[in-house]
Amino acid sequence: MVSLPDGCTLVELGSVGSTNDEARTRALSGAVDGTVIWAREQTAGRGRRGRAWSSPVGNLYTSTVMRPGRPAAEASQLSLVAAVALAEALAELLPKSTEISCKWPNDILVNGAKTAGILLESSGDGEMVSWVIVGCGVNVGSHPSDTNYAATDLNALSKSPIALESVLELFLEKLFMWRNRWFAEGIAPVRCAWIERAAGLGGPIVVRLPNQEISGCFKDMDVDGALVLELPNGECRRITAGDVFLQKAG
Amino acid sequence: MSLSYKEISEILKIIDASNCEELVLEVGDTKLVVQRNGGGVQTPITKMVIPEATSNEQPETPPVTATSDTLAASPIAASAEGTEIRAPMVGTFYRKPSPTDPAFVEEGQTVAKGDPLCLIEVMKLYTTIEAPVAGVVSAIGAADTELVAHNQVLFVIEPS
Repeated sequence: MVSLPDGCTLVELGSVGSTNDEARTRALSGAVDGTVIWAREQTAGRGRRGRAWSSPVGNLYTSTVMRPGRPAAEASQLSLVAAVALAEALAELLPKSTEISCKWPNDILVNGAKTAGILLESSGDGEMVSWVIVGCGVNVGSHPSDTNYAATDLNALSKSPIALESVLELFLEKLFMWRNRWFAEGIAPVRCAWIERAAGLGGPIVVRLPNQEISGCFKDMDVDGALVLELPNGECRRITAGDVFLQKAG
Repeated sequence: MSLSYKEISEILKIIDASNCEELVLEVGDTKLVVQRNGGGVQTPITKMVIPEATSNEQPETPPVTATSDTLAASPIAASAEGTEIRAPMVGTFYRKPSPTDPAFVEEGQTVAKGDPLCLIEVMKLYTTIEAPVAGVVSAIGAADTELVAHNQVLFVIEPS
């Protein structure tokens, strides 16, 4: 039995292609705000730009339908809302000595290794979004070994096994708490919480864009959530989409 | 570079639809000041600077007081009959669901209302832009993976 925040409805499934696809189908059929899809396994889990997301049984795969009633330009801030919520949830589940950080925009690192990914999808008519799907995958019992970045899972860092239900409950509690705060106060407190956990802030990074890679210093995350990259010549560029790779200083 | 009457008209429509109280816009040596309440109330100023040339690159970091949006002149000519589909936000424009997939639509293709036309990514939020009307895609206003500006015309759909 999973305890849910007020207004949430849980749809628990065995194996699905992708929880985001399942949530999208339901959103198109009228699923209400707070509809949460939870699957034990994904056969076609995906990340940014259609990349595969390893999704065996034992990890958490969940997607939440939101109807925030906000312009598309603001809805992207839910990406940071979800990151802050998940980071806080993992911080409560893991020993205090573990370092939980957010890699722009919403990967969650535990002791520097990727542990969770978040992917959002939306659709709308004109300026407003009709719905937003907040999809989230958390490595709980295992992590892939063939990634080009460091990865880990919660049970590798916990003294005792962590139940999927505990991760889901805590994530949803934090997600809706932060979403309500975002509704009431805007992006400012979300941005502050994100920056407190920012991975690589002030250090060297590489940003991979569709047609180029740019090296520079991760200067800031601006008031809209965009990454501010300072180039070697001192100019700053504002990045709204791209893959970030943290580099070792020096 | 200077502003045309049509561009100023478009800018005023955007401001009118927003919560912005005051705008100072500088384009080359042209300066446009818009005040919603006749300037009688002191409100925060939103300042937008239009780049001298359009570019596929990400815009530079704006001043702290600036909005995130950088307007770009659309390369698509206005159509008397076509329906323009505009970008609802600044973001990366994708014509394909993933790099290995075919494009959602091509010029000359017939689409039904609700068909997906493209994706726009902002901070790992992928927004599907759907055809608001049925018709034929007569123009595509941005290249795959290009950064698009808020309100930039992405597609024109003409009645079939």
